[in-house]
Parts: sequence; C-alpha cells; structure tokens
Amino acid sequence: MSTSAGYAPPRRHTGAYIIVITALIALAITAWRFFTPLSGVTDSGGAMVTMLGEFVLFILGLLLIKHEFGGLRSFFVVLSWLAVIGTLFGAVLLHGWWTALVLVVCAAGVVIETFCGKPTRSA
Amino acid sequence: MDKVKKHLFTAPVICMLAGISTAHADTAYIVPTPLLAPSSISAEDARIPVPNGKEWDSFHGQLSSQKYSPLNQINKDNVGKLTKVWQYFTGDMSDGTGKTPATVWSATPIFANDTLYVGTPFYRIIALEPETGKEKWSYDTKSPLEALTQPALKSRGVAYWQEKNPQPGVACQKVVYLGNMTAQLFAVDADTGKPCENFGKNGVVDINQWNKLNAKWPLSVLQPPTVIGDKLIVGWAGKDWEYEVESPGSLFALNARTGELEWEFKPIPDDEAGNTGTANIWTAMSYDAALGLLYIPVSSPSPNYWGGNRPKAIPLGTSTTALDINTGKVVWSRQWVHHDLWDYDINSAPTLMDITVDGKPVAALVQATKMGFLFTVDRRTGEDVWPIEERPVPKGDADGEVYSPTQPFPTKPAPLLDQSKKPAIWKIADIVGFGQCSKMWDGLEYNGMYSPPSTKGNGVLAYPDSAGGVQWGGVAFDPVSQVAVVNTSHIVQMIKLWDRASYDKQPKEAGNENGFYPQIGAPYGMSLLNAQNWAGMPCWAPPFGEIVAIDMHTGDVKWRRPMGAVQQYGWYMPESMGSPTIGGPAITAGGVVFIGASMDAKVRAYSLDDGKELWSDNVMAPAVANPAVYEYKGRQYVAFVAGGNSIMKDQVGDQVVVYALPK
Repeated sequence: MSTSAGYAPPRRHTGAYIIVITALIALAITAWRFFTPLSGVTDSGGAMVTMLGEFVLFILGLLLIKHEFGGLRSFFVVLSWLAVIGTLFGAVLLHGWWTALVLVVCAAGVVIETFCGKPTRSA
Repeated sequence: MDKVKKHLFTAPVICMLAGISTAHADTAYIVPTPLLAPSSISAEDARIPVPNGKEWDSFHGQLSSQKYSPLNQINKDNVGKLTKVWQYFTGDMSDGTGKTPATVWSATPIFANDTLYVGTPFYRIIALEPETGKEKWSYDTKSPLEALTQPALKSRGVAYWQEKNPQPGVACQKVVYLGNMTAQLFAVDADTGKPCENFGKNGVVDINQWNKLNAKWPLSVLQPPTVIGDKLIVGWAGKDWEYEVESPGSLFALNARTGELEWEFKPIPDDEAGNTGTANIWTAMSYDAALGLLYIPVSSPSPNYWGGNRPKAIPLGTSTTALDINTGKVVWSRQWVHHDLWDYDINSAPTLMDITVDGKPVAALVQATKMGFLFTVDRRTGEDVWPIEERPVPKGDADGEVYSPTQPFPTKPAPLLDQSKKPAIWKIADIVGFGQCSKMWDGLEYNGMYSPPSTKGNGVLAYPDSAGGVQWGGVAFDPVSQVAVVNTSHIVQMIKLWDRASYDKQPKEAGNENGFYPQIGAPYGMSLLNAQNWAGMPCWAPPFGEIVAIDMHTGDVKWRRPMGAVQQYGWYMPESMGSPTIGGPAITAGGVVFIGASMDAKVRAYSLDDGKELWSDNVMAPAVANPAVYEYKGRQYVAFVAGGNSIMKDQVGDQVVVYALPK
C-alpha cells in the first residue's frame, strides 16, 4: 500500500491532553480555595480571574486536539502560551502553590504541543 | 535636681544654638519647654515586676503595656505546630454596603475570671469558654448602629475589674465594661452578663454629660477604660477633621463600682479651650504602681492641619503626660510635636520598661509615635534616656498660621523609617502609571517630615502619614532580654490645604483617612490622598511595613524585616515588600512574637532572636489588634480578633480565633 505525498498522519497531541487535564485540576484547586472560607483568597476577584484563565486553558487544550494544522492552530498555540504564563503568574500571586505546580506541568504540555508530536511526512 | 534644671532649659538653649531663638523668630510661637519632675524614688525601687500571671486581663496584657506573657509552653521550637483549637463568629460585622455602616474591630480579647471576653463593634459583650469558644453569655447594649464620630462602627473591646476579694454569689464583684459610639459606658456582671445596677444609672454612665464646651458630637468611648485599682480611666474619640473648634480633650477617672466621677483632666488650658478642641486621649494608657503615675498619650488639637486658631502653645497637646493617679494632676509632660499640623496624635500607650543602659538601671518609658520615632525617657521624671534634640524645621505658607521653629528628634533609637528625605519612587508603579508617580512627586513639597501642609501644587508629601509610623498597637517588650518589638507602616499621602472657594469646588468623597475634609470654621479645608497611580499601586518604594526589634541596652536595631504582604483582589505581593500594619505584637517567654496587623489577613509568629517567621495562618480579615496570650487548665493559648480596618482594605471580619499546640 503506497502513501500519497499529501497524507499526514495524525498528531499525537500528548501536550494538548496534558493541558486539558492539568487545567481541569488547577481549576478544581482554585475553585476549592475560592469557595472555602479562610483560604486567604475566598471570594476574591483574583481567584476568579485565575479560574477563568484555567478554564480558557482547558478550552484551548480541546481546540488544539481538534485543530491539526493551519493558522488557527498556530493562533491557539500562541494563546496557550499567553494563558499558561498569565494563569501561572496569577496562581503564584494567590499563593496557590499546588495550583502553580500543576500549571508548571500544564506549561510543559504547551511546550510539548508546540515543539513535539509533529506528524512526519512519508516520502 | 541639677539634672532636672538642666533639662528645663534644654529646648531654648538648642533653639538659640540653631540660630532660631524664639526672640528673633518672625512668628509669635514659643516652643514650650519640657515639663519635668524631680523624683526621690530610685530606678531600682521603681522596677516593674516581670509579669508572672496566666491572665491577659487588660488591653495590653499588663498596665505597663509590655504585651508580654511569661508563658513558654509555646516556644520558638514548637510554634510551627500551632493549630486552631476554636473559632467563634460574633455575627457583628458589616461591610457597609447596606444600611449599617462598615465595621472596624480592633479588640484585644480579655482573659480573666476563667473567661475570654470580647466587645464587638455592634456594642455587644460576649463571654466565651477559653478552652472551647462556647458562649457563656452575651449582653446587647442595644446601642444605635450609627457612625456618629468615625467613618465606621468601631470598638477596641472591653475592660475588666474585680474586687480584691470577690464574694461568691454577690453580683458585680467582677465587672466587664464596654463603651460605645454615643458615649455610653456599660458595666455588666462578669459571671452573668447582667447590668450592674449600682454603676451609673442602671449600669450605664453617660460620658457625654461632661461634654459641655463646643459639643458637636458625642465623646465616643471606643477604647476600653484603663482599670487602675478601683478607678476606671476613660478617654474618648471624636470626629477629626470636621471642625475647627470642637470638644476640648478630657479624661475621666470614674469609680469602678459606682461610675461616679473622681477627677477630670483637661489637656487644653481653659483660656484656649474655646478656640480649638480635641487633644483628647483616644487610645490605651499605662500605669506604674510604684510611682502612682498614669501615663497618657495625648492627641493633637483641632483642626488637625491648620493651627492659626491656636497660636499660643498648648504644651500638653501631642504629648506623653504623667498624671498623679489620685488627683489627675500633671507630674511631668513631654510634647513630641510642637504646634501639631500633621495629626500626629500620640496614639499608643507608652511602654514602661526597666532597662540597663551603660551598666546603669533605668526606669524607662518608650513612646512610639506616628512619626516613626521612639521617644525614650525616664518614667519617673520625663528626662531623656538618650538625648532628644530640638532641631529646626521648615515653615509654610498658610494664612494666619504660626509655625514651631523646632521639633524634638530622638537620637536613639534611630527612626523606624527615614523621614529626612522624600521617599524613593517605586519604579514599577511609575512605569505602570506612565510616569504618573514621577509627575506627582515633582509637584509635592517635602523638606523632611515636618513640612507643613501647603496650598501649592499637589500639596505637601506626608511621610509618614497620619496612619503612621506606629499605630495604637505600640511597643512590646521582653523584660528578660530587654528587647522591644514594634511594627511600623511606610505610607505616603498628600496633604493639601484648600481655601474655602476652591474647597467648595472639590469632590467631597471621603473614605477612612483618605479624601476631602472641611475643617469647618478654619480658612482652609483639606485633602489627604494616598499617593497612588491610576491602578491603585503605591507610588513609593517598598517595603510598605516592617517589624523591628530593638536592643534596649543600646537603642540599636537588633533585627528588622518586612512584615506581611499587600493583598489586592486576593493576589499577594511578595513578602519582601511588606504590608502597611495596624495592630501590634505580643511577646512570650517562649521567645516568640505573635502579631496579625498585616493587610494579607494572616497571623504570624516570629522568632524574638532573629525575626525569622516561624508560623502563620489565614484569618477572616486583617487582625488589627494585639493578640492575647493566656493559659487555662495547663494549656497555653494565643487569641486573635480578625475584624479588619478600612484604612487598610475593605475586608471586614467577626472572627475570634484561638490557637494552641496539639494535645
């Protein structure tokens, strides 16, 4: 069976899956701190913004899984970088050290999704 | 006696040396000389016993205001294991968004009679089991919840008194007192919470009955009375910055059993009292039993930012004054700001301490101030321990104003913050503000802390501002190591005087010590605004607050470190930047300093040895009062009230929280 020159095998999306999972975990932790009395960030605007960032990361992860190629995918990659840096910064300012740790893993997912897992074209 | 005479002449001599002899000054203001007193009691005989009790039965733990507990079950090695053993929410709080004004709760819990007592900003007294936080009883004074003299409903808690030999089963042998905004002082039985019928009228004394001159607002009793023997010493808070002429300061000694007036002290001379006002005593006081001296911190006369109505010296204004406890007569007095134009009220109880300086025992008194100075004098006589110099200060341009040519500067301990030059600009805030901070700084005059309020440009830079420096938490002291600990804020504001026509055109929004204030009757209204960029970032360089330990043998700093963190929208800034602080520390024999006070609503423990942070926990709101340390049934506890203060941030709380080591 021959392969055509235009065929590209699907991406593995390991990085995107990491983004999705870690964003969800980070969202859960921040939400827990937001709703728990005396967490230090209870009901705070900063925690809400950070949760929003984590939710955006989750959505971006899904979009990266869905979009294999093209300019839109590059746009999502750029957005993922901005979102993970901003959200990580927000989490650190909330003294959410567990959240920050999870978001570091999320950032690794963004790195993987950006630089690794590209499909190889057969000759 | 020779030494006393020498000091009597210190101020004029220094003025002359500085080339500013009052005889040649172009204003009529004459700097008052310190009022000192001889003493026949030696420093050894005046020694204050090292506290040895398990109680914390007054606002500052002891009448010496050392805020020291001899308990050492919790110490620097195990404080990291501290756990919350109970918390109690009073329900008495308001964020001000509804009909009820916001609350500011700065009460230190009182532990006495095997009970923890708190007074709330809704003016209720609550008695709690010290071990569990279970409510024993509560008493509602049914006070009107109106912020008549303050921007918020405020309380700094309750006071406790008992008979020398209380008889079981007899009412009001042990009494808890609470004051309110409308100048009522309530007394209830400490065991039952029932009003003491013999106290005043059915358990209430109306302090406002003595508010006779220039009365525009009630004499709010927000600070609990200082209990000395069978006397209650009652000061009051007024409405600052509203009027030129207001109720003149007064202090009342009441009988603890009956509420009858025993003596009244007036800091403002009678012939001046009709022209000005305040110079009141709104914070805690200290007492030396061996000397029979009550030490009172006196605030500034009104109006706070212009003094053309009071050209003659008011020597007891902005002072620490020692009174004979039996008569209320002045024994000695030291004025720390002459002709105060900055609202530098003396705002904390002086800390009485026995120290050894150059190998000699000294019966000392340390007065912390909003200015960041720690004035140290002999508490028997008022004489300097380390020289306090009169130094020339700048004059201003306000119409009708008189300016003091000099102000007192202590040579030791060094100032807690550098008020000699304009604070540096925080570059990040300047960048975020697109140069807004630089432009603001250029328009602000500052020739040291005593730069007078001005009508020019953006006005004058106020550093430290009227929030301090040091606030009412004052100085804590370990009598064993002779180390003093104090927290301080670094805050910059802008003071501007507005002539009436200009003032009337300004927006009149005023927050808690931030906004426009009329000084009705004076030729100027004033504004006091935080020096911030458009994003609300402080324009001055951090740290914004510190905690400092001073070796009182030498007056040198033992250690200092930024304290707490600024928190906005839940986001914490780095702890290296510190936080403004309101409230104060307590020290224990375990070598631990406990303190809340920071904006980030955390309570912390530091090592007394080196300032290392050993423990922290989140509480409901900034804990803007000193903690209380007590022992009950062999277990040591540390209690904080987390009530918040809108000067720091709009976060209020109603939490009493108590910590101990795990069983």
